[in-house]
Amino acid sequence: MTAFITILPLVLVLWHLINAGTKALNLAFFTQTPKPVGEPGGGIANAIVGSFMIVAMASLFGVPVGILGAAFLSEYAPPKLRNIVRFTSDTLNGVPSIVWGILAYALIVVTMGRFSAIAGAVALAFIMIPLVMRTTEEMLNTVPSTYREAGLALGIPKWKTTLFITLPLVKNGIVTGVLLAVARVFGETAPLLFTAFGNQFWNFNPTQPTAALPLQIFAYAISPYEDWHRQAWAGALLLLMFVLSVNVTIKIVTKQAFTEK
Amino acid sequence: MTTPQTQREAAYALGATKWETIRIAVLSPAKPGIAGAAILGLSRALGETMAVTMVIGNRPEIAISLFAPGHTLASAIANEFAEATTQIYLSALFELGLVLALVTLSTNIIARLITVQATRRFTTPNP
Repeated sequence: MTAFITILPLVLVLWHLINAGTKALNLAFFTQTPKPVGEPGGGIANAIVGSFMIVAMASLFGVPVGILGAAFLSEYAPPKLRNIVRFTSDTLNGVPSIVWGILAYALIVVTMGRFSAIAGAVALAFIMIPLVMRTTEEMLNTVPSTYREAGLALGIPKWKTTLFITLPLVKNGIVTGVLLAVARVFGETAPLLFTAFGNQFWNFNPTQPTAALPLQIFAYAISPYEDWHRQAWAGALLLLMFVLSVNVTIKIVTKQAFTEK
Repeated sequence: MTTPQTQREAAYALGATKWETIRIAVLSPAKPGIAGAAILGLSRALGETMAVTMVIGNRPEIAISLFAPGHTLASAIANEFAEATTQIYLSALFELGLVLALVTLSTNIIARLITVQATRRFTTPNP
């Protein structure tokens, strides 16, 4: 009964999305840029590519900071500092995404003088860092200290032990954490509103305003045009499919991680 | 989840039914954890932006009826940021962001403190 109540919304959302979204799914949807207002057809190819571009850049900024931060916390930091940082990152995790958006706006958009994909990526990276850091740290804590001692006994410097022995041991766990963070930020709209801003055309320059899938869905959904509504549904379906497939990948990766040990 | 299995077994051993066991041995000690989770969920919902912006109607007034359009902190920022042209307008929106951040940070910290206390109670082994 409880399971049914929990699953029901997911099934309803999926059913409705597939129902409404498949009407606008065609080749043009994936290969063309938006048509001018009033003209039917067109697609959101630039938004799909833009989304991947922004999330890739966000991972580039956020993942190394998260992983190395976690390595520092679990290997080097004194317990007191560790608790403080852990508490802070847990709290930061709950900060609304729009606040990160404003922060990136103040830090980057204002200094650069224009909206850009980089600003969007930085906003998303802020969201990713605590997520990646916490999962990586949890994983590192599961490594038995004998591995570290073995490394040190061989005369390997501590930083090398951390980078080449401890971290590779929990590779799968780290991948899971990163994928979870990617799945989380891929659907974020609020932080991109006034950082990446959106764009009706192709753009591969990270210092220019860039379209993103969630932004495009939002813009289409609140627009007064029937055709755009249909495309918004299709975009939402695509987004959900992507996030679902990432989550399934995570399930597979974690299963592998557990069977290996 | 963190409720020790032995608690359940103890309740069963005293002749409790399944429901009584859940109530006495599982839900009752987990109360602070559940409260913390509820507050965490609340602060998550407080900061939700897009889903709210799309349906709330965005009217800069305090709605007397629950069925009338209104505004939330997050939806006001999302909606008006693009049209904020003057410095004072922009600053006002930044302040909304500050208020939102402070509110969610404090609810978050309260929730964390409650859950930390709750888990500490379980991790200290009683003899």
